[in-house]
Amino acid sequence: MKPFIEQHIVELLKAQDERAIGLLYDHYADALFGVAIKVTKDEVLAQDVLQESFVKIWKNAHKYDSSKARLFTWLFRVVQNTAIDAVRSRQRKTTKEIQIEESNVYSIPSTKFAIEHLDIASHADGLEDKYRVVIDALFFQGMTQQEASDELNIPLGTVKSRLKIGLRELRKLFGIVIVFLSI
Amino acid sequence: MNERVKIFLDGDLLERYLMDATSPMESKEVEHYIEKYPEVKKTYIELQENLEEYATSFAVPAPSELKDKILKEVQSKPKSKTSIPILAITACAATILFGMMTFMIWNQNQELLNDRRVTTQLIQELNEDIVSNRETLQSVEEQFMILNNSSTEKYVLRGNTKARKLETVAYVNMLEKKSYVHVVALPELPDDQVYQMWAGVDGHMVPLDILKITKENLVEIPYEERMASLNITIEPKGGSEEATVDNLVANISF
Repeated sequence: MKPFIEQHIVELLKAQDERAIGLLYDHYADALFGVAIKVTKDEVLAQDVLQESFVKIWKNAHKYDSSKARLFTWLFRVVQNTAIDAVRSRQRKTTKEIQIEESNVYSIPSTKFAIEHLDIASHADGLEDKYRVVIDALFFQGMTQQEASDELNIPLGTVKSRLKIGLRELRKLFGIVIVFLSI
Repeated sequence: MNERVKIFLDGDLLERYLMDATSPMESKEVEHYIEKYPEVKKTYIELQENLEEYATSFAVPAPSELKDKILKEVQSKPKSKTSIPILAITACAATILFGMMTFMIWNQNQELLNDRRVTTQLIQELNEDIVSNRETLQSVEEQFMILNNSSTEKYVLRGNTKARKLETVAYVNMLEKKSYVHVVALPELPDDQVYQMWAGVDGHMVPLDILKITKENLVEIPYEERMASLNITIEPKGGSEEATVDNLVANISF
């Protein structure tokens, strides 16, 4: 994202100018929708999450502090938290329902990746699984490091080190892509 | 690299801060490191870039119709900017109203306390009046009973030449052993003299009371057994133990 656009969107958001929402959607909706799908694993629920997240972003725009986080980081946190809440809410609802037959309503996996992101995605695929599962658990499943340790059955210290190394590896991978694209 | 910074970066606080998974205290600590140490700031920026790039690698085209729905919903939502002043104004108004009500209630309470104090005082005065009236009524009833009693004798004492205008009525009940006098008229005397009443008992004069005009018609005087006469003399102020027979102004024998 170009800093100028980011700055312009933030200014519009602070001024409660509705054009900010249109610009946010144009520039960030695809990435945020991908995050919502990764967390919920359900495209229909992810749409609800995205809609709810944009409303929250609009209502809480005055809380955003550009000195503390990049705009995308803040947007990501809003979508991630909203998606985790939606999944938990659905799980509570599901446990209350009497399942007569197995339904696949909540498990439509997304396959429609944006073409322009395919190269990056393939490079992200280049990340070793042991790092990917840790980053996914922490970034997309909303787990704490302790929860990830319990869930993945690996020591807490290993979770910490794999997160750090995984992020460093990602930097390398994306660095390669950026160099490749610039050529 | 500073040892403190190295220890900080070796930990996972920065990564957790990125994920918004730190406590308020931890967040303050991280923000302090970011502000103070350029290495930490650089690492934090890199982490944010990594997050954006990694998340973007999973991007999925968002439905275009969703944009219209969001815009429509946002347009129907009240702006948070205006909601804050409204809330603040409401809170201020509520506080002022509460303060005014508290003052009014306190004021009313003070007035009620004052009213209660006055009412209590009035009740006390009325009770005292009732007691006094009862005593008076009881006394009048007793006098009335005595006067109406067939065994009560009435004696009128009139003044001699030394006190022509003197007139006193005495009521004596031998059965009830009660005596009353009604001073009708007393001629004026010098300030150092008084009229004193005596009972004639076995040839002696027994002092009864100093006579004076009072609001009450009847005044009870001491009753003496074997009383044979009633006498009035002029005596020095304060009365005498022995009657000054020369100054006898009125008498009556039974």
